Amino acid sequence: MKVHSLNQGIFRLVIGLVLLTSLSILINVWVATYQQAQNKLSKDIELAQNVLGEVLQTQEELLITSASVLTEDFGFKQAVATKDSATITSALINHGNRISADLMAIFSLSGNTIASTSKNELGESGNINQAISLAETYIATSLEEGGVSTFLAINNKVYKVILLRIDAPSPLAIALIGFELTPTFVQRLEDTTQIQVSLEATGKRSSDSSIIVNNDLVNIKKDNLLRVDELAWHHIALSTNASVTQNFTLYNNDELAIEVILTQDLRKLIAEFAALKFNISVIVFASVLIAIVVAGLYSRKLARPITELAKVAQRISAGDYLQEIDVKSKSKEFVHLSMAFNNMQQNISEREKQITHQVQHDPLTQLYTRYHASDKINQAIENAAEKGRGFHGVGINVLGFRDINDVFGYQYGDACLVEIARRIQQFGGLSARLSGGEFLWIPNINIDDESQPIGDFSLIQNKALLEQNVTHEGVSIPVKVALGTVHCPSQANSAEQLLKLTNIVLDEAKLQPLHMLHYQEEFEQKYIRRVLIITKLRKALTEGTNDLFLYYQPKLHIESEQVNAVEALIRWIEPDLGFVPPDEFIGLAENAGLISQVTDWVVKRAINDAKVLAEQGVKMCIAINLSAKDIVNPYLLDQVAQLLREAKLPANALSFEITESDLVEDPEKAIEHLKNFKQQGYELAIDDFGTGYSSLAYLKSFPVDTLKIDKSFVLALASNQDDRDIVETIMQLAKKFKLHTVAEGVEDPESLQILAELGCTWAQGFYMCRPIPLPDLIEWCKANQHKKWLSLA
Amino acid sequence: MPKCVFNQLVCAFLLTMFSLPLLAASITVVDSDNKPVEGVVLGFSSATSIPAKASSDIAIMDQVASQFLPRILAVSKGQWVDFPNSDNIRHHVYSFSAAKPFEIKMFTGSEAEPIQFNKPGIVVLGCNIHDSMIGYIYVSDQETTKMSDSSGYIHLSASDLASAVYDKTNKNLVNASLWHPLLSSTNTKRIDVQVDTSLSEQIITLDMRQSQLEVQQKSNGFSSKFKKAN
Repeated sequence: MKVHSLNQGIFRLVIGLVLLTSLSILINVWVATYQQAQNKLSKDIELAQNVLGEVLQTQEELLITSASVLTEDFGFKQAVATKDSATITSALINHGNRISADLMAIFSLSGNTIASTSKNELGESGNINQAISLAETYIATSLEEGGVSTFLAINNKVYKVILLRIDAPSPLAIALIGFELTPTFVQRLEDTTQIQVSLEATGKRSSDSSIIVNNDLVNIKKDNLLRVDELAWHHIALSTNASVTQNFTLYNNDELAIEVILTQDLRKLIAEFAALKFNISVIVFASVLIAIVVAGLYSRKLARPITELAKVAQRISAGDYLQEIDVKSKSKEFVHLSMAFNNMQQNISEREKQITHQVQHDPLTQLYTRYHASDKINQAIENAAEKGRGFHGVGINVLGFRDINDVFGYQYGDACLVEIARRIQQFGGLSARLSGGEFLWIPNINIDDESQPIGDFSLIQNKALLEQNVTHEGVSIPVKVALGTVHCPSQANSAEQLLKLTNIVLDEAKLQPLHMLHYQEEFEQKYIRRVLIITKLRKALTEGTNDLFLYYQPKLHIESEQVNAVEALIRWIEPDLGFVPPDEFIGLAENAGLISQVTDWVVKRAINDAKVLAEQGVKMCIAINLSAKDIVNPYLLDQVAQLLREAKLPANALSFEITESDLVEDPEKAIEHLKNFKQQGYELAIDDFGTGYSSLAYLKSFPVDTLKIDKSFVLALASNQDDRDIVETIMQLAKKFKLHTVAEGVEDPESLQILAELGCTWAQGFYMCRPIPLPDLIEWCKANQHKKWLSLA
Repeated sequence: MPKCVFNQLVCAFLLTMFSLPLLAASITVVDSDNKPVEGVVLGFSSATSIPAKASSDIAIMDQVASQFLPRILAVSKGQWVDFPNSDNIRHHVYSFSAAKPFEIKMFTGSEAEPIQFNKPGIVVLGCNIHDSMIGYIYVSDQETTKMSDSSGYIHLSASDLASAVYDKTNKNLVNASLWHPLLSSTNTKRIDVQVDTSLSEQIITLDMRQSQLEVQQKSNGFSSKFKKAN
């Protein structure tokens, strides 16, 4: 749809209406004029016809009267009574002149012509003879009726003829008196009727031609003659040069017909209406002009406030809410509209502030959001760079925040965050919530000359403040946080960089015992490697990239000198990263929640291998390392049992090892779950025993069969007396608790000998064999089946 | 001829067959509307010569209230008629009739000399200054004349009939003529009739014209007195 301005719309409407009205008026005037003209014409002509009829009748009566007076004249009667033709003729001339008759004749009662004359006496004798011959038919009637009034056409002239009986007092003779219908007569008729009059006499005999008596009909072209009922509007509208005519029959008998033609020149009629039409046209034209001017002015006036408000709306949409809206208009609607615009502007402004606040502030803690903090940080960095100074960004991570949520519920988790946020805010500076349990605190964001980068001491103080227990609804929640600092702009020259490095340093700090670190460049490399390892490991586990392997290290049963157990050790040789130490990726897998998948893989592969070994006739118990998370996994036991059933292997084909440090984290929970393992018939060992500060009370309660002495005590067993004492003590402890022992890290025959003497159950180490793949293990077992390990020492 | 008249004629014929001629005859003249016609002059030739009237036997055509009185006067050839003017205005009595054209100009009282009418015929009298004055003088020659009264009644006495000339074939019938000005437009027309003397009562119907005067009196306008030719 085509878009027009309001201006144009109003303008067109007004002009259209005025034009329409004007046209209607014009057309009406024209039509009315036409009808009026036609009516007038009809009336004029009808009137003229009536008047003419009346005039002609009066004229006839006058003529008859004149003729009667003549025939009543005694002298005339006497003359006629003489029967002397000459006398009578002279009397005719004499009396005819009295009444201006054009024809005179006297007939005997039997119809014989007694005497005749005409106005010019002799010159028109032919006329009178013709007249007499034509009039003879009327003589009998005249005698009977006293007289006859008729018309005669003679020699291209039309006469009004009156025949009168001359009574003296009995009928004496018949007198004929004729009056010519002359143009002068017609002129008199025109003067009376105010309309052009013509008489047309047409003889009925074939030889007769019509005679026209008129004043100036010759001037009117016959082509332009219109009958009254033929008159159409355009004749008047276009001022046609035409005449309107109407005929009526004055006289008609067997001999002669006389038509009266009334003619009205249309121009005369039109002239009467021309002034009216001109006036109306001028008024119409003037009103259109006025309408154009008024519509132009008014539509502009009407549309101006709208245009102004449109500009205001555009400015508001551009975010300018402070403009003063002052639309000058006398229209109530526009005043209201501009008031509404003002309200809208204020409301939008307020709402935008709210939205901006919501966007800039974390709804839970009311700290800045990461996005909003980024802007501030960028400004601060720019500011600092200009002044050649710097500041520290401190990342704060609530350790084990997920556990808080898990243990206490989200309500408490949120309460912790709110409280910690409050504490951070109390430190001053800029504080923002980055995600979950991560915050950013910039102590000296508004850097000045005096301020110094934050020192370790104040960091420790702050950390202690943050780690105060959070009490919510009577529940006291212990909180641990990790802190990591990044220096701007030397380490991070943008907010993005700062956030990234904060993430890295916190990641690293979590691994540190003090959970507090300053960022160092190597962290980034380590971080990248960690990210890479996790990514690749996940891929290896899910896609089966065949770069994970399970190696086995034999455990020598010292007493029998036979290998009857192996420890399954995962090995990962990634194409890009090369050999990745298990210590590195297992820890990362635990943090990344991948450990259960790793364990799954290990269990499946171990059971598969155990089946192979069983088929090879090698009787071997495979020990699998479990993490703390594996122990609490409720599905693991079922899965293992299922796989063993499928492989048709007994429970003692597998055993499990749990590091002492995992057990001591939550010993009661560990004991509870380990009992399940024990019930299923699996042997359990405490790995790395001696490094985890186990409570002896718990040791007694652990449903384990074996203690695995950490290799740090065994490696230098042959040369270090302290290690030897420790091992001996552990052995004695094991004996007391009726536990088996395994010594790890046996690398020389002397150590093996010592262990044998101390009564250790199994020995494991490079002296016997390094961890090897399954085929090598089978071969190795076959090769060393009868080897006397102790005698070699 | 109306049916009743025919019947009466038949009756008259039958009476003639069986009775002797009557001593007197009565005739009633009516117009086509059965109205009695006054002033009808019945004339029939006398078998015997009628002696001329004595010069002293002057008929009177008086003028009373601008009318001729009597309107119709029957005189014998050679008889004198006096025109006394009883009105106190003058009259100009004239006639253009062939029987006796004359003119007595503007006279009052008995100024006018009597005029002798010595030619038989109808003389129509007029007054030049009073068009409504029309009078008629019936000049008879060797005729017995009788005029109908206001009831259209004409009485023929035995003496009248004694000199009458009877029809040769029917001795009861007398050949006569009737005249009245309105019998023709020229006022001169006479109608031949046969008077049946065997009938005591004879009715004769005349086809009368409207009198000129009546036409004038009836008409409202001048022009309408004419029949328009168209």
